[in-house]
Amino acid sequence: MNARTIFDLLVIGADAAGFAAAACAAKSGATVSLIATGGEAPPAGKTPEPPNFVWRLLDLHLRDLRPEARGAQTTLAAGEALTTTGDPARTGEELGRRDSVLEHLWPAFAASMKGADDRPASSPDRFLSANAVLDDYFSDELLKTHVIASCVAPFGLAGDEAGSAAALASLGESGRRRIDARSLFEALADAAAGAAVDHTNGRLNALLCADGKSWKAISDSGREIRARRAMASSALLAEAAGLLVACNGSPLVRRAGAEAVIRLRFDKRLPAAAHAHGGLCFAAGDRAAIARARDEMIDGVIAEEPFLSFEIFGKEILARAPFCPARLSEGGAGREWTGQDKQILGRRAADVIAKALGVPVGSPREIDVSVGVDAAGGLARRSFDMPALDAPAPSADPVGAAASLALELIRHD
Amino acid sequence: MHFPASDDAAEPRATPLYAAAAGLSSTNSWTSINGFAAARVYTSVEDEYGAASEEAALVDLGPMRRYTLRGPDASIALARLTTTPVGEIAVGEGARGLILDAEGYVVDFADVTRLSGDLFLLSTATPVDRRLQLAVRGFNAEALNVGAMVAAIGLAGPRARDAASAAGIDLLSADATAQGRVRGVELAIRPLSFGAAPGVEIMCPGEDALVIWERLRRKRPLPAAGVDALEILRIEGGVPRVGVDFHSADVSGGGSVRMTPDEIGLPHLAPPNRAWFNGRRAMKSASGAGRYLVVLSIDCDRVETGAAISSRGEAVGRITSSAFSPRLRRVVAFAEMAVAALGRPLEAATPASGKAAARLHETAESRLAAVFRENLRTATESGRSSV
Amino acid sequence: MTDEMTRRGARIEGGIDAVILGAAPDGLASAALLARAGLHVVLIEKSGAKTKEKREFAPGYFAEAGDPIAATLDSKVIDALDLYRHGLSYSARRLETLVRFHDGAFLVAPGDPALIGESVAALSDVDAAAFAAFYDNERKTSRSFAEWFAGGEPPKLPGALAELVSSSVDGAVAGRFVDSRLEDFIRAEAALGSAARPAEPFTYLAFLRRLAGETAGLQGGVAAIEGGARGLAAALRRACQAAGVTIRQTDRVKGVIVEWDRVAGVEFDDGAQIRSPVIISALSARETFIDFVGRSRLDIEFTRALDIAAPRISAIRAHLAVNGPVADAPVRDNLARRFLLAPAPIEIEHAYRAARLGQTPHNAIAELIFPSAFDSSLAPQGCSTATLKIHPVADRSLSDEAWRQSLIDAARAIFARMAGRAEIAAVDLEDPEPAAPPVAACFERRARLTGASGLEGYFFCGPEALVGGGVSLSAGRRAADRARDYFRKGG
Repeated sequence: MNARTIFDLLVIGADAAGFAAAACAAKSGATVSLIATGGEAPPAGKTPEPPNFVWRLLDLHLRDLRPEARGAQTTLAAGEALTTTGDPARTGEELGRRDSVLEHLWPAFAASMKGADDRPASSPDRFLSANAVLDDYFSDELLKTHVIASCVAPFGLAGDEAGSAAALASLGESGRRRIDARSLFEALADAAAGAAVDHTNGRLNALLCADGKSWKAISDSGREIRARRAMASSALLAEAAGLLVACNGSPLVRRAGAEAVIRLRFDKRLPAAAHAHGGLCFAAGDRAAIARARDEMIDGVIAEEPFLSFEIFGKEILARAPFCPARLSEGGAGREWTGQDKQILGRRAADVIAKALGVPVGSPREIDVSVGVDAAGGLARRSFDMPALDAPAPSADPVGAAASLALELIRHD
Repeated sequence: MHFPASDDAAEPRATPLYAAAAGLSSTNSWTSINGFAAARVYTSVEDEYGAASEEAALVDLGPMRRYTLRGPDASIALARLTTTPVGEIAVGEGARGLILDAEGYVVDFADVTRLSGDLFLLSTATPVDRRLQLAVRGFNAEALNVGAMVAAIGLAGPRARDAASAAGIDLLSADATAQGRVRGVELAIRPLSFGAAPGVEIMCPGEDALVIWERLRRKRPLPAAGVDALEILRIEGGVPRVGVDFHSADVSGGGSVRMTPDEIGLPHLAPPNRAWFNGRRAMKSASGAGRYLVVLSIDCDRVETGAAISSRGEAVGRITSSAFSPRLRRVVAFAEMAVAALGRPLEAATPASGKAAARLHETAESRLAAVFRENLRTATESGRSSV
Repeated sequence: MTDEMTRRGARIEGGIDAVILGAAPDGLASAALLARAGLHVVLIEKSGAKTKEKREFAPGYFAEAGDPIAATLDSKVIDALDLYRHGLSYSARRLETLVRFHDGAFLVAPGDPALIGESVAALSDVDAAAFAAFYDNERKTSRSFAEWFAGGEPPKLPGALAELVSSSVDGAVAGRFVDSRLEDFIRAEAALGSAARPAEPFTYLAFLRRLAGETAGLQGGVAAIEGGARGLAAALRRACQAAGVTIRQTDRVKGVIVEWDRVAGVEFDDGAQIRSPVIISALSARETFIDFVGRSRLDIEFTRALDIAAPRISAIRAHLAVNGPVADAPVRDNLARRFLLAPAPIEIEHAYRAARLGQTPHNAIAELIFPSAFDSSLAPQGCSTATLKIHPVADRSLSDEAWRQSLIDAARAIFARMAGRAEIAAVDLEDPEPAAPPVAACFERRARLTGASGLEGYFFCGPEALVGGGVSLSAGRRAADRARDYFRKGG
């Protein structure tokens, strides 16, 4: 394609969501270009399977993706464990053993949270905090903590923020089967290549919108890409790159910190008791502790007891700390993460997990921590003189959200 | 007795009577209702219908939802939640009504029985736990879902009472709930209508359910009636089914698919001149889509759900549920109809011959609705003339 | 029942067209408006609610309760009731705002927002043009929201504006200017009185509301009312009197009589009744609906909305007796201004955190007015009174002496931060004022409460019908308009 080509769609962000958006738009007949921002995190762990329309458009059945059964999610706090699965009726039955009221209230709650992120602007529930909604339904504190830990915390929110109730819609996604994130990423990248998506080597250096209509991206190698429409693969990635984004008024846009991915490798398989819960676990004290973790993130300190979600695979633990400062604060000034800081976070994470499981896990042989993109990083150098870039609303299914936004954008033409 | 739509629960749960029901089922045809396994047909639909409409047949009412409300304010909370005249019913009496949302659309059916001064039994077709939780908030009343503790055996048919008496389970009176012990088992018995057929409902602790079921069959092996046979009685009786003929306002997510009590053909269950209940004020301004649920009798052997109803070639409605009535020797069906077409000659599309004549079928409910509408009209007119 | 009452000698009064419950400014405004429309109106206020005279809180120092300044006064109410003729007057219009930043620097925002560019140039030359353009644009934008803020229908918004409604202050301004203190100014204006942190969605609208407000004929202006909140209330009372409103004091209101689906009057503890086809309540939503009508007559969904807990954060107003001059020259030079403390973003975060956890505020957003600069009778010669509004603080009762003392200390510290050292002879606290949910949430709450109870003839203009803080009278006007139409249609 020559330099004068004007693409139908420019996708910014070369993560799984970006490739899915680009590939879906290209398969639907648009000419699409894709460029990385440089902030993309390597895929890790498991991710929800893409929705059916992505599956169909990209013929994902031809790939060996092997979605695994819907997983259980368990919150471990103060010697107690509470587990939910994507099947509300079954979960209700289980919860009914804690408190008989929950047996039927839980399915009712799960059903009414469907579409919570898509409420019309006129719905009063749109402005509620997740805590207010949970207090309205339940009195069981551990259950409320569990819902905040599993549905709200992944968005970098602690549940007391206005509008955070929208995150409860992700309760519906917990019923999805899950796929290895790396295989999915590779499959989507291949699909994009197969659909003739123009993929720029290098990353975005500048984005312009001269006439308010067409966009021009300049890569760090100096390549210019023109497109009639542009979108970001995720709001977070684009914000971190200094772009001004609009995601359809979603209240879930993260405004501080980053997510850290912590890999802990041990010499030998972890004791059987550590595998007792299976699925995704949350090491959470209570809702106040989650709010405290959020506050510590804002303060830029490594939490003594970080809030974690984790999963155990044989000799390895993959943990995520959704409330992690993107930059550390020291004596009023900010500084970058050092290797030593990461080791500290990793060791604290290991302690938290051992405490939550009530099983000594020993000290990990290897700690690998990567801190994701900085939600607030881009805010310091945003450009306000062009229209905001469309981005999918933050969602528990980022791939599906990006793909449907891409299809919506090209449909406009 | 109104079962809601069957659902698609992956593994339906067993009701306390499952073992007995499974033992009687020779067709092994099951469906899931509210997450519980329910037999569609035990032996044959015709036989079961015959027994339930002329003799007596056993029904497993396990899938229905049951709640108790207890406390000094229980009657106020229930009067607010449901359209039943709770304040007027005496101990042992029951009343049926609807549950409406705040905008005046139907959420569910509600059967209320007063067990004692401040203890009520509420049974509904679908789960209403959340509504109940909100309804008792701020009142001195406690709601409890007793579905898991209670088993319910239905006896449908004109000879249901005799069958119960034969098993030593006597009703104190024709229309009151009785509580008592039979062979050490705590029982509550109340009258219940199965659409076109009368009947009774016997409630007992879940663990004793099989004993009572067998006791009822001891003298004479009463047959059991499955969902399909009850479906015929239901349509003949003019009772729409939640999730099939209309959608609960709570699950339809608002919009035009919601229906008012008048539109589902049961205005008499939510009289606007009764004391305050949830949604009553909104009911009069609730604008439905101008379509009504009616029961049609159609001169053919089978119609399909969704089949069009036409009048002089113009489509005026569609079938929402249907069954072949062995008594009428033709199909009875619920149809959603444009109000303008109700007086005109109608035809239903059939899979076999294309078209079959259809006419409005009078049911017990439609008679009550007609009388009610007439009374309401005269009341409004006399009210207007006096102004 | 009626027979029994007559037997007991309970009085039943008729011939009254409308009863107003509560003598809040919106209640007074609606009463006067209805009376001017020709209705026979009775206003019932709680006994002791009659505005107190200014209060001597330290020897020689006087304080007026309530907000000494106004930023959003509904001009339609002022015109319709001729409030100027009834004594409403401004001791100062177009108040300048002196914004104090975390580093001690200050910005003088002029009384006329259109002139802000020059003032910004004094702080940050590079941002002057951009800030002026931004401010101007937001003022224009806010105008299209003005009707909505005042109680009207939401405007049909194109995408970019719809995005604005859900924006957080941080999202809308962070990274906009070279000098981030300008962002702190907007953050402080938006967050003052809001229960949501500036990082939370829907908060930017609070800033637009501030810009959309109109007082003394100027959009975005701030004016000091003579006599403060009491001055406004007194003018409204005189308007009520002139229009023939009967004002009664009693604490004995038992409830609202509902007959069938409409209200029919007010009932008192002793069985007495006032029959009336129209009732407007300016009391809180809980009192209006749950206490006076009762849950058993209200829709389940409606009471659920009332039951959902509001965020428990509040603002506190402190009166300080300043014995002698203040140290800081820019403050000392002209006390007849509005002073705003705009802390750094992290300080605001910490303040909200402390408020949430019930701890003593060390930092906060603060608004400072010297009422004695407008009315010299409030303080002895050479001294002044200061009214300091501190936000956010925990929603705790002042009866806890340790808490009260810690707030007094905080008020002293914050005053010193804003005005420099001064001799403070006494500090007096008013009861905490609950913070409002984000502005957009207020809209929905208002829409629910004013229209959705379903009781005919019952209209609501209580605190929940207001959007954001402050006094605006718009809710009272809307309630009076709807009540009048309802009454004319035959009630």
